[in-house]
Amino acid sequence: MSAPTDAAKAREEAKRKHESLTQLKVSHTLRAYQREWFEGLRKDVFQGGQPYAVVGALVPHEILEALDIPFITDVWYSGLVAAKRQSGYYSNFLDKCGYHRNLSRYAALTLAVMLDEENPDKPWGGLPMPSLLCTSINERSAEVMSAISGAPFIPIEQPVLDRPTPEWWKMSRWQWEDLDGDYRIDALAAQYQDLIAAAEKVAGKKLDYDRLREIINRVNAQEEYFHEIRTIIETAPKLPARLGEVMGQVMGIQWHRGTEWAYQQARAFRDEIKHRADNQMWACPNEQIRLMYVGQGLWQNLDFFTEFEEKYGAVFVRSNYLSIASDGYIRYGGRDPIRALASRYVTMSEQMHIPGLGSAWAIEEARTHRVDGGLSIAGWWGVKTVNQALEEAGIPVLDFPVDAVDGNTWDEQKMRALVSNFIEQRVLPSKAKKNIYA
Amino acid sequence: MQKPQRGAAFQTLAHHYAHRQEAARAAHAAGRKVIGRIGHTVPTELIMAAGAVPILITADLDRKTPVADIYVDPELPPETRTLFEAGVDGDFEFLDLLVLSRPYDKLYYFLKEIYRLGRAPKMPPFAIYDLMQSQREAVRVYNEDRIRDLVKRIGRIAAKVDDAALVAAIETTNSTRALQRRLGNLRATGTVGGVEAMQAIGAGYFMDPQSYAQALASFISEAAAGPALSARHNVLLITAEPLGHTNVHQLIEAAGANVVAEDDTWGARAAGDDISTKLDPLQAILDKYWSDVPTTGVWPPAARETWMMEQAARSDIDAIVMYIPPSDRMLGWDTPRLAKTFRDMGKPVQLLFHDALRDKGRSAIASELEPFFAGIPGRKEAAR
Repeated sequence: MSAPTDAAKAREEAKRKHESLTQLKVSHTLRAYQREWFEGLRKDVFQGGQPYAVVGALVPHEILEALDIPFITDVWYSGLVAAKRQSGYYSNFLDKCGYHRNLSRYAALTLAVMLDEENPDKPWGGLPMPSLLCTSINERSAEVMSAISGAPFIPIEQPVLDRPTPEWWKMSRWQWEDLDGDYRIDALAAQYQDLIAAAEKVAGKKLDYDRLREIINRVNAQEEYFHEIRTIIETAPKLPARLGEVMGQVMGIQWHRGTEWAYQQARAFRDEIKHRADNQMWACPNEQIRLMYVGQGLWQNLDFFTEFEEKYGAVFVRSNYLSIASDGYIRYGGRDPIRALASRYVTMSEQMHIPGLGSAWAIEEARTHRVDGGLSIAGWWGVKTVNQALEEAGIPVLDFPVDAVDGNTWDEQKMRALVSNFIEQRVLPSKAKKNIYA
Repeated sequence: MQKPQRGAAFQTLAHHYAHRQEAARAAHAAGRKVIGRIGHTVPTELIMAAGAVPILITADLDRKTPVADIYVDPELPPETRTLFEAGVDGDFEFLDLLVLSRPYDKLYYFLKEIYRLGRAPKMPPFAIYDLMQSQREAVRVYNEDRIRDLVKRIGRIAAKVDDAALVAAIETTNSTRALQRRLGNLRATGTVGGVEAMQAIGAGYFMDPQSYAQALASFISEAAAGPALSARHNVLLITAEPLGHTNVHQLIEAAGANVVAEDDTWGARAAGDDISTKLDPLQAILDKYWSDVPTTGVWPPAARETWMMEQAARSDIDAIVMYIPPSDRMLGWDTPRLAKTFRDMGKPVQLLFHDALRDKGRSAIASELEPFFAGIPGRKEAAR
C-alpha cells in the first residue's frame, strides 16, 4: 500500500498541472464553491453533528434538497477521492478489510474512507457516520455502511426496462409516461414513499411538495443550459472548452442540482462557452481530430484528455456526462412531482449502456459531434455493444483498459502509447478514407 | 468418499441432470408446449397449470462464445455469455416461450438487442418476469401486476390458466417439496452424499414433474434403507453464484468432507416451505417465490441470511465453506462480516476465491481444502 505522503506529493504535482491547463473562469468559481460547501459541511455536519445522508447518483436527490438534508453522492465522492490521487490507497484498504478485488470500487471508496481510522490524510478530513443511506439495491457497499453506522438504508429497485426504445432521448422530455411505462414509474414512486418517510424523520419535518416541484423545475432549467452548451460544442467550428473541464463542471453542478447556486453556475457556464465560441477561443487552435469519450468518467486523471492536442491536434469533444444532463434529466409536465422524479430516475444512467439504447445514442452523439474516433472505458456493462455499434457505424473505438477511479490501474506511459497508436493506426487512416469519399 | 451402489431410480435422476434438455425436447417432439425459464424465480406452477412443460434453461459453461465475446462485457458472469451464445446459435428454438427472471435482466437486454438487429433469428418469443425480492410492501403492487401479466402471457402460448389448474399444480409441486425435504434429512443423517443430492435435486428442473416425483421417491426409499456413508466432516456451503454443477461438492468430497447443505436453489434450498393452500392460489405462488427463493436480490440481509444462520448453528455442521469465484460482485460485500459471525459461532471457515469451473481453479481449491479439513479435529478421529 502506498503511503499517504506519496499520494500527497502526487496530488500537489497533479494540482499544478491542472492549474496550468485550466481555461475556464467557471472552473475557478466551481472550485471556490466546492471548497466553501465542504467547509460548511465540515462545520455543520462533521463538527456540528447535523445529520447527513450518503446516497447513490441515481436516487432522487431533489427530495433531500427539499427537506434541507445535506448529502454526499457515493460515486462522485469516489470520483473526488480519485481526483485527489488517493483511490489506489483506498482500493488497497478495502482489500485489507477483506473486500475482494473483483468488487466494484466505483461507489465503494466512500465506504473505505468511512472505515479508515488510521490515515491522517483523509480527503476533507474523512467522513462521519451518516444518518440515512439510499442507493440502488445492488450497491452492497451501502448495506455495509448502514451496518456500521446504524443508519437506515432505503434500497431502490429499478424495474427492468421490459420494452426498450432505442431512440429514447426523443421521448424523454414530454412523452415519459409512454417511454418509461406507467407501471415502472408507479413501482419507483411507491419506493420513494419509503425514502420520504425516512428522510422526514431525519429532517424532523414534512416534505413540502410545492417546494419539491420548484426544485424539479429548477433542475429542468439547469439542464436546459447544459443542452445549450452541448449544442454549441456540436456546432462550433472547433472545441471551445476542454473535456476534463466540461466534465468537472457538469458533475460539480449536478451534485448540487436543484439549488439556486447550481442554476446560476450552469448559466454562467453556458455564457462562458458561448462567449468563447463567439470569439473563436478554441481549446486547441490546431484542432485536427475530434474524439468522443464513452463510459464512466476517467476521474482519476481528467487532464489526460489534453495530452494529444500538441502532437496530433486531437481533442476530446464529448462525454456521457454533459449529454445525459440534457437528454436524461429533463421532465416536463410533471403535475405529480413524485411521478416526474420517478420517470427521471427509472432508467437513469442505464439508458447510456443498455444494449440498443446506449448504441443508438452513441451513434447519434458521434454524428452530431462530428467525431473521428472514440475512447471507451470499461466498467459499465453494455459498453462493448456500444463500441461494436460505433465501429459498425464507421467510428473506430479504443477499448481503454483502466478503472475509472482505481489509481492502481493507471500507467501513464502505457496509456499514452495506447492512445497514440490508436490515433495513428486507426483514427487517421479512417479519417483520411472518409475525406476521400467526401 | 465411500459411496454405496445406487439403483435405477438414481440413474434416471443422474441421467436427466446430465442430459438437461432431453425430456423437454422429447415433449416438444410429441407436440407438447414447452416453456423455458431462466432463473429459479419463474414459477413452474403457472406453466404446469397452462398444460405446458416447464424446463429450466441452464448454461453450458464450457461452451465457446465467439459472438458473446464481441457483445457481452467481460465483467458479466460467464453464465450470461454462454446463455447469450446459446440464444444466438438457436438452441432455444424448440421452446414455445422463454421467460427470464429478474437476476438475468442483463441477459434479457443483450438478447433483445441481438434479436432486434436480426442476428438471432431462431430465438423463440421471450419475456422478462421482473419479481422484485426486497421484502417490503412498496414493491407488492408491482409484483402482483407482474405475475398477472405472466399468467396472461403463458395463457396466450398454452392453455388459459384458471384457479383449479393452479391448485392442482401447487399440489404436485408441494408433494415434490416434501420429498426434497426428506432427502435433506437423509443428507443430515449421512446416507446421501452432497454430489448425489445435487444430482437428485437438480434433475427436477429438467424432468416431467410426475416422473421426477416417482424417481425421487424411489431413490429416497432405497437410500433410507441403505448404509450410512463413512464419517466425514459435515460442511455447510455458501455460494456466490448458483451451482448448476457439482464441481465444488466433488472437491470437498475429495478433500475428505461432505456437503450436507448449501444455500442454493440447486441444492438444499430447492424445496423451502410449501406453497400455502389457504390463500388465493396465484397470491400463494407469488408469496412463495417472492420470499422463499434465495437470490442475490433478497433484501434486507436478515431475510437473505436467516436460513444460512440456522444451518450454521446446527451442531452437526463441522465447517463452513464460502465459494466466491471471480465473477462475484455481491457476496464479497457480506463475506468479512459473515466469516466473522461463523467463526464467532465456533465454526471453522474456508473462503474459496478460485473458479471451480476451470482446471487451474480446481487445483487451487483442492490445495486449499486439504489442509483446511486436516486442521479440523472431530469426525475423522471419531470414526477411527
